[in-house]
Amino acid sequence: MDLFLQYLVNALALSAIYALIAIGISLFFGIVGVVNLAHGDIAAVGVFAALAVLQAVLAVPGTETPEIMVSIVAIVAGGLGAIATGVIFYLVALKPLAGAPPIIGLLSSVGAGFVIREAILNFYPNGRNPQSFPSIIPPKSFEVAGVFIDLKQIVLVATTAVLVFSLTYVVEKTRLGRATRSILNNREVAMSLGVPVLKVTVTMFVIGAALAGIAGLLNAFYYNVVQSDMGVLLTVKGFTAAVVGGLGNIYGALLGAFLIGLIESMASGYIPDGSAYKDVAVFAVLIIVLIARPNGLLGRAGGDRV
Amino acid sequence: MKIATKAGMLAAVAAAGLILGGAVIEAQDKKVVKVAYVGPLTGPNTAMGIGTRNSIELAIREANASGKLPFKIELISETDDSKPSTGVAAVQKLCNDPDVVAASAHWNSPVALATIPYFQQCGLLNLVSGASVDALTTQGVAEIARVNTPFANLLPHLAKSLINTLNIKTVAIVKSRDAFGEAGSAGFIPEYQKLGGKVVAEEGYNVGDRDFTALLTKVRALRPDAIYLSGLTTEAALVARQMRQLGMQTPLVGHAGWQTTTFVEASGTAGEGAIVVTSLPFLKDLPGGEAFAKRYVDANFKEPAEAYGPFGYAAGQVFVELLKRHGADRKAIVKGVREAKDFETIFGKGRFDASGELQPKYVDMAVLKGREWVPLRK
Amino acid sequence: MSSVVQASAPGKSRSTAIWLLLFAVCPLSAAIIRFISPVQLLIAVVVVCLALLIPALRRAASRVLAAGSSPGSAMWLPVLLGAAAVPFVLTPDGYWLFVFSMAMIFAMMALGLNVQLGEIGVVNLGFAGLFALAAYVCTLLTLKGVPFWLAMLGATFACWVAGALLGLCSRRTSGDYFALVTLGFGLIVHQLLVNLRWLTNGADGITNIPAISIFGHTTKDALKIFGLTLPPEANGFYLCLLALSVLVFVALRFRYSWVGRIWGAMRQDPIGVSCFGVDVPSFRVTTIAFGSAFAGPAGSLFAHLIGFISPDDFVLLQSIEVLAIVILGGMGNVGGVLVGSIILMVTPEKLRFLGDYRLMIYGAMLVLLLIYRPKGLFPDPRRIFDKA
Repeated sequence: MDLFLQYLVNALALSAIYALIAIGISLFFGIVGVVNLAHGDIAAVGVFAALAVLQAVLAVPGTETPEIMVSIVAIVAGGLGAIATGVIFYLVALKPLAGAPPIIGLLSSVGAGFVIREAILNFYPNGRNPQSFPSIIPPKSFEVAGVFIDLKQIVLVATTAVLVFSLTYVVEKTRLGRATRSILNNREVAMSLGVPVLKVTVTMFVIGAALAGIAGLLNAFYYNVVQSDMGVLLTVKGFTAAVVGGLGNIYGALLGAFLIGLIESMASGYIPDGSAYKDVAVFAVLIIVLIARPNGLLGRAGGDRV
Repeated sequence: MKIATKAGMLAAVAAAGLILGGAVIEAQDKKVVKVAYVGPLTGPNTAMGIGTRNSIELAIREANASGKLPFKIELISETDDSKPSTGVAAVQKLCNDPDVVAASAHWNSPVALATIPYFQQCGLLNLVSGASVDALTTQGVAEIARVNTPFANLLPHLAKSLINTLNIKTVAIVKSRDAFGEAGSAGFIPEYQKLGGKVVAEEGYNVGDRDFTALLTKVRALRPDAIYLSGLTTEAALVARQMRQLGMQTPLVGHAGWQTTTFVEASGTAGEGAIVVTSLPFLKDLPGGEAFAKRYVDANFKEPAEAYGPFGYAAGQVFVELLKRHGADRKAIVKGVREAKDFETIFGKGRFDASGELQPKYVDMAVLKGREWVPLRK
Repeated sequence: MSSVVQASAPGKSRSTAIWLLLFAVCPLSAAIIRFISPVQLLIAVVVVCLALLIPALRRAASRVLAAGSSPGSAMWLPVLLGAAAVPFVLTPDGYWLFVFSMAMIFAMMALGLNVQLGEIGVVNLGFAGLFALAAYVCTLLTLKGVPFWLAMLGATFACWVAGALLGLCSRRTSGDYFALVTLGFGLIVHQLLVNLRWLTNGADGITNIPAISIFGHTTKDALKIFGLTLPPEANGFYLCLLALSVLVFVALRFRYSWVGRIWGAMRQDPIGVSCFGVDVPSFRVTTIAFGSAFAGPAGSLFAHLIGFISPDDFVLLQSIEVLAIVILGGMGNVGGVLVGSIILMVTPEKLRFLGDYRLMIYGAMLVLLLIYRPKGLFPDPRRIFDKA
């Protein structure tokens, strides 16, 4: 039983990271109708921006900057890096494609993802090798009835919970949220009713990219090892979670992320040599979900689909 | 039509460039013999590839500068991108260049396995300086020889040290599901069991995995004396960290695949005390080690020599020796490798045995202590 | 049809000249690519791209390519004969023949993806998975003693089945979801190849795949034609040329039949087509399966020509490369796809010195093409009314 609880704790931490990415992808999709396969790479830029700041500060000997200050600066740098990348990505690679079929946007994001990934790899100092990410959260675990819970896991889950809660508040209760939902419903009608569509779109992109950046940072705090291609894994898992839950639906993305984390953890735990097959299990579940519920678990049926 | 005119002018300029460029490239010195390095000069393992290439380059530069050679040796290099198909194309390119008389190819074992038939077909020597699976030299191919240490030398030494020195009688194996990780596990198990050790679990992961908590939770329940990790740096560092996170005090042992400075940085304090069997020389233990390190620094290469640098340097030394003895003749060079008994390299005096392995081989145990890999001594 | 194709009427001498010109295209380009220095090639590529900026030139180029790639075109014969002459021009250099063989193998895949992406607008991000399936099925069969030709048929059938299964997922899901399914398919195939060691020998890959043998002549032997000795790589070159020709023929036959018309209509307006009694979802499944089958010959030839396969050769990057070929060449344009595969698969071999920046250039090129030339370098002239 304590083994099962341990798997559950591990799964929760995993899900928390996937959830933020999945929500970002879901949000992008809802607003511009394009699946963004560069989302994880935007997160990676945030991570490396934060890493650059941390390395710069830690490289100066003798400075007695309080750790909390360093952390805050790093987190801000990471968020800004991701936001800048996200907005540039939108303006350069997606906006010129307005009016084209959504598939073209998806392909464009694949190309942009390659550019971002390879840019980190080629231009970040020593970017080809995995880099150690300084631990800002002190390594401390608590043992509760045989189950080890790490301080990092608590921070991870708590941060995600707070962010998701605030996001749902913004979307459900504020003016920006109403505008967003009107665009989600029908872009043309929203535009004709005077909703500033470009402004709202860019704002939501900023929020989505910031979420990606924070997800990347949490990922870095948790594992302490980062690599230029870390975005691929985040994208694939986040995308899968978003699709399982239903694209365009925040709660769906949350549910999807939890399911994916759970399946991964349980598959590695209970199947002999399961670690090697956990992604197979995840995608098998994905295909089953898509066949049973073509629009995801919480997705709405689309319009004129044949 | 304005664009048309502009494009036309550009085309004319470019055409002129083509002709001029061609003229410049034609002019070349004649008395040049080429040896080649093929390795990961692009892609995931670039640092290793470049370090090795630079080290070969160093040996060749020194030979050219000595003025004792009747010709000039030139090192050309091709990337294999750590991919078999790219490697095959690169080797075919070398085969078709009659000036290339010998090569040192591939850091990645799958790539090295893939190109064997091509070296065989064109009778070109491949003096391996990085790839470490045993199967390279066990197939009886005359064109393949190796200077670095294969698993066949490492793993028995590891098994012996675990049982005899460290008193570790049970291990759980965690291995990457690639050629490297599997070879490190398959070669180890029989040696370990022969000495009375017990393998309590054998778990694989996919390269690129980040979360090992589930796998480690499972292993923790089996209470092994140690975890043997057969894989590469990133995953090893993550395993080390996540072991501590799950409250495991079990020692982590492994092989040179993750004995890197990146592991030291990425694992933080969690990596302290990790033990590996190493094929990567501690330079001060080598006859020519410290001199090599100094000359490498003096040569002003932009990149460090990395762990495989000494093997690259040794390969370069062997190349020079072979060329001196046999001249620019592919066949004679292939034959000459196994014939001669006295190759003076950075590892001291050595010879190639019948299977093509440079003997004696370098093997040692290392431990991570005070954020540095140091020899494990009692 | 363009004037080039109907040129036989006005005068014999003019048509002979055009015939010779078409015949010379392949050997000449091959020789240029072989002997040109990397920098010169780079300049040449830039010049060609600049030239294609001129609308008139671009239209002419795509018209010639499209007209030439209609099934009844008189251009195929001279071009094919010219391609067959390439080994004679390059001999004794086997390396470039190998590079061209690889380009042709990717062209075969691109033809298949073109059916999916170009004709009916379905994004497949897992083509490398199909490629891998073909390579492994064919290899495992030949290692069991099945003759290569039968094994290749088996591999093609396996790809067809896999494509049909993938297609079944598309019955109920929309485009983006299907893209994820194919992405997942590619990843699963890779992981299974790595993990099913008893079958695939895992990440070590399968070594010593036998050469293809035809009447006792194997692809490892030097080829003697007209008293000339060609390097062993020429065998592979001719096999690939043969397979590619057959596949081009098949692709064109379908494209210029009622099937091709339904494809075009389905891409444009699925609801409209279904009003005319076409069962669009089922038709889509069959089309995806049809396109996937193209990976069969490609994978089989790849495995037997390199003689070694391992999972590392079948990753997402390969899928993206095939995708880039189709987009660069011009979706829906068979001739454009052929040119695209030469540009994308041969140029990098020459530009090895660009090394690490290659993928970045790939990505940037993909984005720029999608923005400025969403129909590719050589757009299909039939598509002037398409939305994208």
